[in-house]
Amino acid sequence: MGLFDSMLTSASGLTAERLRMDLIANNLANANTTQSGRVDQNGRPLPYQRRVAVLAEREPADFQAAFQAVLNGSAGGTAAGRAPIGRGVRVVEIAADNRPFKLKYDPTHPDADEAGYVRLPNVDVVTEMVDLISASRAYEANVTALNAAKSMAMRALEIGR
Amino acid sequence: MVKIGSYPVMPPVANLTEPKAQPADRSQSFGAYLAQAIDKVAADQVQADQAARGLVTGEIQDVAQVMIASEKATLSLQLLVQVRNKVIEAYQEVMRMPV
Amino acid sequence: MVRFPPAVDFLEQGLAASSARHATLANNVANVNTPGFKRSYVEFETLLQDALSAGAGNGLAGRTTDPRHIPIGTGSHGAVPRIAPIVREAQDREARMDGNNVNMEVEMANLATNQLWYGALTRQISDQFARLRLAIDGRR
Repeated sequence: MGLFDSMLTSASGLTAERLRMDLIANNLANANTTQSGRVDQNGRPLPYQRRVAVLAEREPADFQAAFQAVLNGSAGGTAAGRAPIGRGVRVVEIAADNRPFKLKYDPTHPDADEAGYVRLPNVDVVTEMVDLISASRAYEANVTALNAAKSMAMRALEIGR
Repeated sequence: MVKIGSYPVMPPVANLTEPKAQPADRSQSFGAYLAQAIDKVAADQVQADQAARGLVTGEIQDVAQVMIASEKATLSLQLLVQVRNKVIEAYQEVMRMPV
Repeated sequence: MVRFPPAVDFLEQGLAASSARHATLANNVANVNTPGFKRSYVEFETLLQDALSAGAGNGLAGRTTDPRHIPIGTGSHGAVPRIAPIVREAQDREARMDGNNVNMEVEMANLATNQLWYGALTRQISDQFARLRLAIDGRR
């Protein structure tokens, strides 16, 4: 895998982290949304459900070829423990967080049930902020990797000049 | 009155010899000098190659050392090439002289 | 026609290894938040050193027919071995709760080091070619 492909790898990281940040922004915006448009089995409105991105490593382009490369040894190395170079990260799905909703006692709320409890989204602001910082740091790291690849390729262009 | 004899005087200059014109130091012929220079240039090239190899194998972590060795090799080769050019020019100049 | 010095071959392989290393590091960085992901690294320098120490003494030296010829090749450091870089997965025992063992700071430091190494290698190759060009066309 060369420098050009590695730029695509970094781009996949940028995409994934940006999606995470979008989801976090949406979670924060809907942290107090008691009506998401869906209803539960009793017909009462369901609050907004936290959404989170599920990430996984991207498969090598040609899995067969990569598998063969691992099976065949090359000079100086054992086949065990070798791996093809990965192609970055992908978002498998945007999953809903199935943890229980928060309950708040507020009989005056229009969405309160008979006991006076209101169901609030299962969004924890602190967790979202920590995730936001992590996603933002990872985004910057991917930008650095992309710039490094670009500068290395430009140095290679100057060989012999 | 001060006695002249008590002043420190320069010793007589009988030990000085006349500077005589000496013939040029012929310890090395130009050919031997040139051969030495070429050997040195070759040694510099080998040094630079070994430094580059050390950089690739990771034995040499100091990039400056490699850069310096490389620059030395380039400069000594450049000097040798220019000396060769001058020698050829001089030879051609001499051959152009009318007898 | 030109007998390129073995250093050029070494440097070329170093550049290939550096390229592979960057791709591996970029993949590690992209997957820093992927659960269960294990970082990979590239093994090259140790393999090259092993191959060189194993093959020392049976090197190629340019044949000189006249004592005034400038020798090509050192002759005592072995023929240039062809080493392909190997990518390995690091099964570190220290991993975060989601099974990910990518240490962001280490990866960024390695990224910077590798970038500089790549630059040094390209400069060295350029210098090798410049010296050859100087010898070929000496009227500069």
